[in-house]
Amino acid sequence: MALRPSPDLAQNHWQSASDAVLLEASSRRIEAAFVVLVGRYQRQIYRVVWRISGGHADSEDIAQETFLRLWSNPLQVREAKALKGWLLRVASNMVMDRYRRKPTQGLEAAEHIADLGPGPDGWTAMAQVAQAIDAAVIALPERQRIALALVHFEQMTNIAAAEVMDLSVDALESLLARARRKLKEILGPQGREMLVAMENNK
Amino acid sequence: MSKSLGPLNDVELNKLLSAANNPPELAGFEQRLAVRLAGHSVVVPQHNNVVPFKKIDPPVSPPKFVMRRISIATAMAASLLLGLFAGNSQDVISLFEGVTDISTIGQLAEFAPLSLDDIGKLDGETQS
Repeated sequence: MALRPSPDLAQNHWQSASDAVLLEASSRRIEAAFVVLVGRYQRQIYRVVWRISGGHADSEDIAQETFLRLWSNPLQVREAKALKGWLLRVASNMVMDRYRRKPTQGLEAAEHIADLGPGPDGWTAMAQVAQAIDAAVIALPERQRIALALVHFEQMTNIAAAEVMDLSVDALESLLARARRKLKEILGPQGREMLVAMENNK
Repeated sequence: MSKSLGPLNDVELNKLLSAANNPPELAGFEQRLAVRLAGHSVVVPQHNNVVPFKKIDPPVSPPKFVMRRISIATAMAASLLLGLFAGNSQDVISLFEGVTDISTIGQLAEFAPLSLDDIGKLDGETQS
């Protein structure tokens, strides 16, 4: 069944509806309701996928696959309040599945993280700093990366992130602690130089 | 300059992480998703696919022991009514004529054999 762009009027009707109502309507194949649901979460899902995959070109594809899975049977999300967690869990599992089979450019780049460094004039360009930090994040083991993406970059609480990852809060905190320790090791002394560069670029 | 300061602390790490790249803006996500959905096979939600099983109760019949008690009670009531009816009816007495009853026994009691001769006499009377 095609998800045709619905008339604005139909979509406006659903804009104020709760997730529960939209899920139920989607299960009755009401496209306008599903479009509103996608619009509500697609940015966050894409952001997380992009972060976990290291900015891979497949990020949008994975985010869309996540919504396709929801569209195939919206009622598999038993509680509407769990929808965001369900989408994030499906998306992050998809990233892990796909990149186990096919290493990403980002992961390959992480292997050469030692090659990343300042230009002739030091860390003058913020783009260089950002690239080095991205590479450090990508070098983390995948579960540590997901935990960091959810808690640090998406500002989720430890409890919510633990639910997404199907972990206890203690296990999530342990993952986060290891991720941060590992990042400090990776960034090392260059991290301080980057901080100085960031101060100078303000 | 900074090597002597030791490893990064949490605040510094957070500051560095805030400088990480952010994903590009994603325009037309819904439209591209629509194209993919057009070729996507839909799994009909389970709630539409399942015929609810409606339990049909069998016709209500009383348990066997109740039926048995009813039949016994009916038979006893019929017997009681028949007894009352027969007791009130004089015709019934005729049914018992010739049957040794209390009065017959009373007559026997009046005949008290005293000796063997009396018995022989009684025997002769009976035979005659």
